[in-house]
Amino acid sequence: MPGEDIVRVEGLNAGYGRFHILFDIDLDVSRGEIFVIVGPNGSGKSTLLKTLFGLTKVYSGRILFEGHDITRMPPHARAKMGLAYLPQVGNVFSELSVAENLKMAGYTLDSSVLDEKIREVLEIFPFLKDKLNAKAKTLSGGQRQLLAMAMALIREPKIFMFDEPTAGLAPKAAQEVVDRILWLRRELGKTVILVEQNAKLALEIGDRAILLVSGRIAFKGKASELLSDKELGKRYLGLKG
Amino acid sequence: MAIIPSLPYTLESIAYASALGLLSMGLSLTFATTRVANFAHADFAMVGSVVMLFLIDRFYYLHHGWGVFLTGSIVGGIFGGITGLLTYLIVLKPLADKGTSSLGLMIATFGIDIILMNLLTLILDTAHGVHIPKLIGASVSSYEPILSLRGYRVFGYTIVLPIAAVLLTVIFHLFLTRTKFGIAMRATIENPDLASVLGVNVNLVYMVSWFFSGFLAGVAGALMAFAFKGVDPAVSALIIVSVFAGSIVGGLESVYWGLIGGFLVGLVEKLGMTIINSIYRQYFVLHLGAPNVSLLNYEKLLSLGLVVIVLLYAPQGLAGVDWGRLARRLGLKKPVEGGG
Ligand SMILES: Nc1ncnc2c1ncn2[C@@H]1O[C@H](COP(=O)(O)OP(=O)(O)O)[C@@H](O)[C@H]1O
Ligand SMILES: [Mg+2]
Repeated sequence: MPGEDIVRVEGLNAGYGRFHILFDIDLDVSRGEIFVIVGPNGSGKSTLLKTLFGLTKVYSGRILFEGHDITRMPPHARAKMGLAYLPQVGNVFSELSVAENLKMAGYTLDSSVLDEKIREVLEIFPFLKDKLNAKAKTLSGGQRQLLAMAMALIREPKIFMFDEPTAGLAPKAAQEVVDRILWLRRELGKTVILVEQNAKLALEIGDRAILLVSGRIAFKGKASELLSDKELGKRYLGLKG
Repeated sequence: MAIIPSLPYTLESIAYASALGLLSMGLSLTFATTRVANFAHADFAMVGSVVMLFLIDRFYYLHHGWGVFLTGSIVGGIFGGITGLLTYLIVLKPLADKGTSSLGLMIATFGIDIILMNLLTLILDTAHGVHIPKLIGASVSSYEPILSLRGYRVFGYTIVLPIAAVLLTVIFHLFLTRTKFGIAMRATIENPDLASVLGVNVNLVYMVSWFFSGFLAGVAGALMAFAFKGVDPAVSALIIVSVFAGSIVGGLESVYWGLIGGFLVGLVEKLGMTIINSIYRQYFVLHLGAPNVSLLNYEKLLSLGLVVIVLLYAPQGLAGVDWGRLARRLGLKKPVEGGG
C-alpha cells in the first residue's frame, strides 16, 4: 500500500532524563519514500532517530508504526517489527570478522535461513565476499557503512533509519553509500529516514524533509522546496544563497 | 647453590604461572563483560581447592593415580563456576540493576571475598575431626603421582597444570570463535547495546561469563591444592594480588592477554625471585656480609614492579601494544607499505 503512512509521530516531547531535547514534534513518513531530517549541529536530529527506536525518554506524545503504538516498546521489539536503526558510530562490531558480523545480524534466525540470507546480501554487496574473514575494523569507513547496511538487510526491515551515513567519508565513498540508499528504495521498495549533515546531498535525493532547529520543526515539506529556500538554507544549512 | 633454579622448582614455577594465567583470564572475562573488578576471584579458586581435599578424602581409589587430577578439575571447576554464577545472580546483578556503579560493585566483591573465605574456613573447621582430619594442615601432595625425571622427584600437578591451562584456553578459544553463543559473547563485550538490539540475551551472556570465570578459577584452585602446604582459604588474600597484577599487565579487557599477563606475573614472581635470591645469597650475604634473609617472601614486589613498568610504557597493558609496529621498529619484521 504505497503512499500510506508507515511512521506517524504526534506531539512528541523527548530527551535524556531531565534534559528535554525535542519539542512538539509532529510528522508522518509515507511508505516507500526517502524522508530527510536536516538541521544544525546539536539540533536534535540524532535524538529524534534514537527516540523513534526507543533509546531515549519520551515525556509525552506518541509514535505509531504501521498504525501500532510503539511509544513504550523496547528497542529489540521495534527491531522485530521491522525498524532498522543505523547509528552514526558503533553500527558494526569492529573486533568481529565480517562473517561474524553478518551472523550476529541474523542472531534470532534459524541457521539455514540465516545462511540463505547471508548468501543473498553477499550477492548485493560482492566486495564483502573477499573480506569475510577480515575484522570489521580493517574496513574503510564507506565499507563499514555498507556492512552495516548488509547487516540490517539480513533482518529484512521495512524502514531504514540512517544517522549521517556519509559523515567523514571521501566523496566517492559517500556517493556509493548514497547510491545504495537510493537502491534500497528503488529495488526493494524500502522506506528510508535519512539524517544528514550534508544537507544539499540529502535534500537532492529526498522526497520530503523537515528542518530541525533547537529541537523544534522549523520547516516541513518537499525536500526540493527546502533546498531552494534561500533564507532557511543560508541561515541553518550552510547552503549558498 | 646454583643461580639457575632446579628442574622441579622450575616446573613448580611454571605450574603456578599457569594457574595464575587461568585466574587472570577469568578475572579479565568478567571485567570485559560486566565491568566488575572482582576481588572475590581467588576465593572461587579456593572453592576448587577445598573440593579437591574432600574428593581425595572421600574417594580412596583416587589416591596415587592420575585420575585425581581429572576428577578434581572437573568437580572443582563446576563448584567454582556455580560460586561465580551465584555471586553474579545473588549480589552483583541486583546491585547493577539498581544502578550501582562499577566502583560500588567492586566494593561489593570485597564483601563477597570475606563471606566466601569465612564460609570455606568454617567448612574445613567443621570437617576437621569429622571427615578429613589427616588432610588438614598436611600437604595434599602425598596423594598425587610423583614422577622421576632426570633423577629429580617431580610432582604430578606441575605437569598437569600447564597442560590444563593450554587445553582450557584452546577450548575457550574455539567456543568464542566457532559457536554462535561465543560470537555473541564477543559482540556483547564490544557493544552490548547493538548486541541486545540484534536479539542477544545479554544477561545470559553475563551469567555464562561468570560461570566460566568461576570454572577456570575452580580448576586452577583444585590443581593448586597440591602446591599448598595444607589448604588455607585465607591464602586467597595473597593470590588475588597476583591475579590482578596479571590482568592489569594484560590490559584487563582481553581474556587472551589476561592469560599471558597472569603467566608472566607467575613466572616473574617465582623464577625471578629465586634467581635474585640466589644472587643475593651468593654474593651479598657470603661476600659482603649482607643480612642473611630470604628474599623469597618478597615476590609480590616483582609482580607489582612488573605492573608499574608495563603501565608506564603501555598504559593499556600488553593488549594495547601495537606488536607489528614494535617488531618493525626493532627490525624483526619488514616494514609494511603505508603501515605505521
Ligand atoms: N546522552 C545524552 N544526554 C544528554 N544530552 C544529550 C545526549 N545526547 C545528546 N544530547 C544533547 O541533545 C542535543 C541534541 O543532540 P543530537 O540529537 O545529537 O543533535 P544532532 O544529531 O542534531 O547534532 C544536544 O544539545 C546534545 O548535547
Ligand atoms: Mg547527530
